[in-house]
Amino acid sequence: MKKLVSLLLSLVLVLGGISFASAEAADTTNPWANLDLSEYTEINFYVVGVLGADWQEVVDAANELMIEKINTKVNFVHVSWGDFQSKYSLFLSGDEDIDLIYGAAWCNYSDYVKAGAYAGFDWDFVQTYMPLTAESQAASSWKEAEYNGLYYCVPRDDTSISWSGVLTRQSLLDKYGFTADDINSYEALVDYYYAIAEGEKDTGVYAFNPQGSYPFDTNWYTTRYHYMDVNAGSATWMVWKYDTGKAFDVNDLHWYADTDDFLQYALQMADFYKHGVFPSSVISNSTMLDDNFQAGTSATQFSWPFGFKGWQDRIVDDTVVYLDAQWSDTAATRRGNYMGYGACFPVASKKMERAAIALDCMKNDPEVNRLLVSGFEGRHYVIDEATNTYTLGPDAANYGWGSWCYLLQHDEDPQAQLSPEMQAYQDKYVAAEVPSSTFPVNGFVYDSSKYEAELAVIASLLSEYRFSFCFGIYGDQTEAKYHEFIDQCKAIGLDDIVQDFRDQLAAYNAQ
Amino acid sequence: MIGNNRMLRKQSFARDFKNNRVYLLLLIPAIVYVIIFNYIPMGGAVIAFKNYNYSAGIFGSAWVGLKNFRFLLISNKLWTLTRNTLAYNFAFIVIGMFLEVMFAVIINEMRSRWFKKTFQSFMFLPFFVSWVVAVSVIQTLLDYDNGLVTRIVESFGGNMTNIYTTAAPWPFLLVFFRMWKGVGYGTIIYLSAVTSIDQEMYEAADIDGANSWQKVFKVTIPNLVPTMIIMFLLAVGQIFRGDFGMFFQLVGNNGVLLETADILDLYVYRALSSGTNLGMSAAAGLYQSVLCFATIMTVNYIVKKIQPDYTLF
Amino acid sequence: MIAVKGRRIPPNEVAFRSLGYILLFIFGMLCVIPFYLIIVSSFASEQALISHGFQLFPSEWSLDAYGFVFTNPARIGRAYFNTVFVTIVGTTFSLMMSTLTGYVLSRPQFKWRNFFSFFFFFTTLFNGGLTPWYILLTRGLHLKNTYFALILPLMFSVWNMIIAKNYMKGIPFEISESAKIDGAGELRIYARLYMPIAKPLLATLGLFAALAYWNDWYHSMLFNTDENLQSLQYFLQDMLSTIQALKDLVAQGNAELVKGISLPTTGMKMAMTVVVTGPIIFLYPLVQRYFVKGLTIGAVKG
Repeated sequence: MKKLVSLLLSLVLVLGGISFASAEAADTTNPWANLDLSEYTEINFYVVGVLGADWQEVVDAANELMIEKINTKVNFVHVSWGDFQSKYSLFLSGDEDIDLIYGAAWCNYSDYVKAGAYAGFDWDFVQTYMPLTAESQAASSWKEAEYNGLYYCVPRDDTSISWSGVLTRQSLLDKYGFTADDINSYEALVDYYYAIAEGEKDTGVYAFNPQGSYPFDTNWYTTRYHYMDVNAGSATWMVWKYDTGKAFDVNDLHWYADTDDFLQYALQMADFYKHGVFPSSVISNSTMLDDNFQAGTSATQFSWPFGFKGWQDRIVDDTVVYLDAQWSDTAATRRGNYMGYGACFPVASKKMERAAIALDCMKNDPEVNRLLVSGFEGRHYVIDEATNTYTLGPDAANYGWGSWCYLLQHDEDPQAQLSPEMQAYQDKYVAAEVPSSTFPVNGFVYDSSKYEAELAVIASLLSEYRFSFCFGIYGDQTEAKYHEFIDQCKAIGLDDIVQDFRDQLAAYNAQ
Repeated sequence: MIGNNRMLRKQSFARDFKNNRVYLLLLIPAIVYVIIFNYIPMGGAVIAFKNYNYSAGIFGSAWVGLKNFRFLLISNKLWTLTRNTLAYNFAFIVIGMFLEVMFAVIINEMRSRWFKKTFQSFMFLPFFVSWVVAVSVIQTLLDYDNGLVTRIVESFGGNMTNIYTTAAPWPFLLVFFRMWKGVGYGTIIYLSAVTSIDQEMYEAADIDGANSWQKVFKVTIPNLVPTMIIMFLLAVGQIFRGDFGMFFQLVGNNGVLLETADILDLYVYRALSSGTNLGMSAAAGLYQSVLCFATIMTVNYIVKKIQPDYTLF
Repeated sequence: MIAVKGRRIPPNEVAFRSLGYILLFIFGMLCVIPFYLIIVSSFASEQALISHGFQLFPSEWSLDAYGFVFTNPARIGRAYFNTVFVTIVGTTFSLMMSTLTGYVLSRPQFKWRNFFSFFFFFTTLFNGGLTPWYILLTRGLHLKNTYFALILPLMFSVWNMIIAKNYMKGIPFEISESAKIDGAGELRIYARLYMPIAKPLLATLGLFAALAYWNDWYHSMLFNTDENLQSLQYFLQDMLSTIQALKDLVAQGNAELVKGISLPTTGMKMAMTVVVTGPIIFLYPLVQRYFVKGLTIGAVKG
């Protein structure tokens, strides 16, 4: 009897203990448990990107979950790309109802930080209001968002390697006697361009036919001649040649156009223009490169492996071929920085804490995050767990994966499934990755306050000459114009600025 | 004596106020509007002298004197840009006015009603074409490879110049395009003025045996002069502000063309569009405003000396 | 001598007339041919547009561009409504304000007319820039996402007011004198006497104001993020940039959106011009009939 009672007692104790323990475990699945979420709040989040027809449905579903989990509704206010850039400073100075907004290098993040547009926060704030992010966000990303001891942005947790190849049509390759494997270098690409320009003189087909606002100096200059670049505002664009065998030294950092390779590039482009590789009115061209490639008036197009399938589907009357023309054995790739996109809290917002909690939920709650980034499982996408890739679902046209909330994506997310051929290219590009310490510029914010006027003048000179070099319209005058350009920049004080930049970078890296 | 004068002035002001009370009353809507929407924001022009900080706002930001104006001064181009802006605008104003008055007169004199109505409507159409679309049209016509005009010129054995790599024709091209787009709209004002001319004057001229040419130059044009002067003064008040929309679409980032077609507004856009410096763009605007102000005060004063009735204020 | 309808017309008259016809004809054709190109291109297929540019007679016809513009009839209907509403209301108030103010400033007995003329004109010379104005309208007046944001900024145009003032100065002073003797107040003189006479002025300023409202996309972009409150011009531009972005999506490999179908952006730009210009162009002939000789002073003398 006694044995039975003690057995029963211990059973009760054990069972009681288990239920007690699971009750506590239930609490820890809610990371925001110790925060005061009793008041229902709405947050305004200004976003850019492409929304798709099912967007409202997806967002409503996400909000249902968020109201349940954190008693917060997020009002996504969509702003189109063009408007976003022109209105960004107005948003920050005029609107008082924005609680979360994109911050990014392409949106002059560092300038706005210096001008006091974003609210700063420290690690305590992150741990309190964004516990999931504090855990999962890559440590090096925070360094990029730091300025004078505080963080001003929650960077994305996602970087990518992007290297592109050249697309062309099989029919053109056949016509001029090339094969895809032939064109595996810039030199071969040049030959191909010339062949097309020569052969298609009056047919309206051009070897490369972009819109007049597309600067491809990143392809024919920095990529070709093996430069890594850092762009802290358009005028302070610095390049470093990485295949010289030397380790990085700030004194090897040069201003964008102040290199011998730039002149070679400009001369090449002038040659292209002369041979009719571009249309003669290319600088005022308003039809996009994509449209021209689709319609056949541009023989080539740049694209990374992830874009290949889309083009295969789009061009129905011919076969699209991927040419690995930009690659060379000494090429190296580097991850883009985390500050490509981030979320910032405008200074005028009165709901910073709740916005932070909502951001934490959107970024790192598995359900909410997958919804916002990808849409509905089965409808918009299908995940292959084994390879951690995804394919498009039947309704994919109505909701693009990551088409508007780039800042919520992660490095560990499933990647789009590539064909074996494309995967091979992408693997090759990823394999050539060098660590970020090779070019230690991530997170560096250049303080331009001493040279603002000079930089404005240089920015205007850069705009004035850049596109003209890019499209080769200076013709025989190219070399003279190049020296004129550089001389004007130096007369304003370019050398001083470059030295200042180098000094600041060296000091930053010495910390 | 002094006390008397002050009393007199006070009394006369009170009297003036009483006499003009109605006018002031009727002006109130406009005055309120202008104070709210124009004069209050005008205070924000101080940004030009400050280093704008978003947390501090307009009035909390720090003063930096003339620092924001430096980017205009050190460019070595300020004189060229100012001169270009002025020259292009002056050409637009003068040539535009000539064409607009001419067409208003022609339309007024014309007998055939359907012809004048139709072609007047045609003239008006370019106003609706945005510069973005206009650029495409221009390219279609003037493209060196296979524009319509190019093909016509070459079929006559001529040689077309590549307009995108030659700077010389652009001053003329810009005036031409601007006239194309704006003359139809501008003619309307002169048309409404022309139709208000007293018919008796024409009848008197007829009796004197004047022919059409003489009637135009002796009756029509003199009666249009007040309107022409007012329109001229209004345009001069903006003479240092360039037509950014047109220049940006047509010339944009073409370094070759910028040699002859660069204006203040384009330069400011290039210099500041990649940055975020509100102070510097306010400084550029203020520079243009001050020049416009000086110009219109001078020109208005000159007009006042010649014919006080025609002044703006 | 050339005989026309039985009357003899001297040669320099013929020269005068013909010159007029020729000049007007040339300029008119220069204006209408590009517009014709635009209209015709809006009905051309995207393929033809990209391959051959604008043609006088497109090689391939298609209604795709219009199809896309009218994809969402409810939205474009709403945009049309917004623009029409704002134009009518705005033009009415604009006319009232500019003519009344112009009238007051044209009265010779108004002692401070020069001062106030300068007071108003000064606002066209100096401005504080976009940021202070934006802050005033959003934080100060709370006009974000309202119809007021579309109507108010354009409501009082100093330029129009000066034209009105100048026009009314040209109306003989005696008219108002006789009315004053009859005991009429300034407002009555303005409304009952001057406005009926000033029909060409009203037509002109009404047209200008209506065009300014009709073409306005800027204020929608700045203040109205709510779709239901956007103007037609802005809505169309927004649509174009959205479609542009959809195409970029394909290039990024995010979705196999449009297999073999082209999104007609070039054609759309043309279709947009036609869609926006279409209705308002019918306003112009209505206004033209006020530009008839002798309309005003004849009425006065009578």
